[in-house]
Amino acid sequence: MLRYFTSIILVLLLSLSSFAQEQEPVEEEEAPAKKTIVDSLHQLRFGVDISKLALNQFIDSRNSYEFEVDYYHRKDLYFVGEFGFGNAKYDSSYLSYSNTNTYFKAGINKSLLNRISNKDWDMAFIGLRYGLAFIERSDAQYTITDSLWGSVTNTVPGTNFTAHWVELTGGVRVEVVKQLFLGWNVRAKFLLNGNSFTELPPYYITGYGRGEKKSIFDYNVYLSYAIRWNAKPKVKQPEDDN
Amino acid sequence: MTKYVFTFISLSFVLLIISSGCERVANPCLEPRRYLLNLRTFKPADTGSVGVDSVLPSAIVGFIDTNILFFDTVQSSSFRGPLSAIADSARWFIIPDTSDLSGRDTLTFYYERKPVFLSTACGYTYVYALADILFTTNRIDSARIENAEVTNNTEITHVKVFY
Repeated sequence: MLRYFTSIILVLLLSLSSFAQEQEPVEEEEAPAKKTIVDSLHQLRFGVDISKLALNQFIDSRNSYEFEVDYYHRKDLYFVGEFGFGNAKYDSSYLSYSNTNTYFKAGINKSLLNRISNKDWDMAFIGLRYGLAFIERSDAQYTITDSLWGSVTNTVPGTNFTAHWVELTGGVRVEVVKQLFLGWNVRAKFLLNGNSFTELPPYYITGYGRGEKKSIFDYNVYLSYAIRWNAKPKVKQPEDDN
Repeated sequence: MTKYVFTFISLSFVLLIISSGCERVANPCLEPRRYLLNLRTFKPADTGSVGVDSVLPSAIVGFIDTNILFFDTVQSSSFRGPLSAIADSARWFIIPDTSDLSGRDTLTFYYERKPVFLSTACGYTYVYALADILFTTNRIDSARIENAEVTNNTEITHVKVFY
């Protein structure tokens, strides 16, 4: 598993690197114009994680719906809010239970690329998140098998949990057609209250991942739509700076 | 831009496949799901906590009322065996030397079962809290509970039996 994620991160870094390298000549070419784009455009972007929608079709044991909203603040800084909901069930010969949850995240993204025009909204970014999930776990049935004497089945009563965690994230957003973006995030998540899950943790927490893991890697693939307003960029002439 | 879109789609596809594949990999239970009781035999002169081993020359150890043997004709002073997951007591028999079947003794362990969560893959198991031990005295001099909690710690001696 670790090998897969290491590969993903390497691909991400290479991708970001090549993305940045592709941008550099454009910056150099535009440099003689000596114009600086000053932020005056607002953008609010709504995204849905289409990878989770796809995985819902392949994986019977869970359903996840994850959404993202980000707002372009200024200087390549985005405020980000995320939310979602889902359910999961675990069913084996030893253990059977289910859980549902909702979650919310808040954080920022910082674009690593300078915008080359006021129409340029492509971005490669890194970001931080704080996540909070409210989880309801059902009664769990467990079976302890004794090959000699037989099996014992008992029930653990259901309960509610709150999980919170922090995330480091990075990714890209590409405007494939006007106002419509495709993009992905990879995420390293660190559960802050993992010790409270020692007694039968929720199987899968939408927004976080496997409940019994205190740190986890994850990814999202977003299809996003952006709305913009106040679309007249102010352009500073270089002499204004003097 | 086309290159970016192509890269993006390719990467997304790879991520999707990897993720789906990882989810489908079996989630095996890789830890013991049954905890065993460690019993050691000592010489009867022992009054201290360390004691002197009493190696049984050709021992048979098993569950009473069954044909289950944990050890069959073994020279040892250390024996590990299961308790019951469905009852709060278990009875073992010990024959120290197969050439002398009249030396058969019975040990009855009384305990409390406590379910503990192992992992999602393994589910639950029981740890046992030994409460009492009864024994016959054909060859056994005495027996005592040394450590009451029978857990996954295989280094601990739970019961000392003195011959």
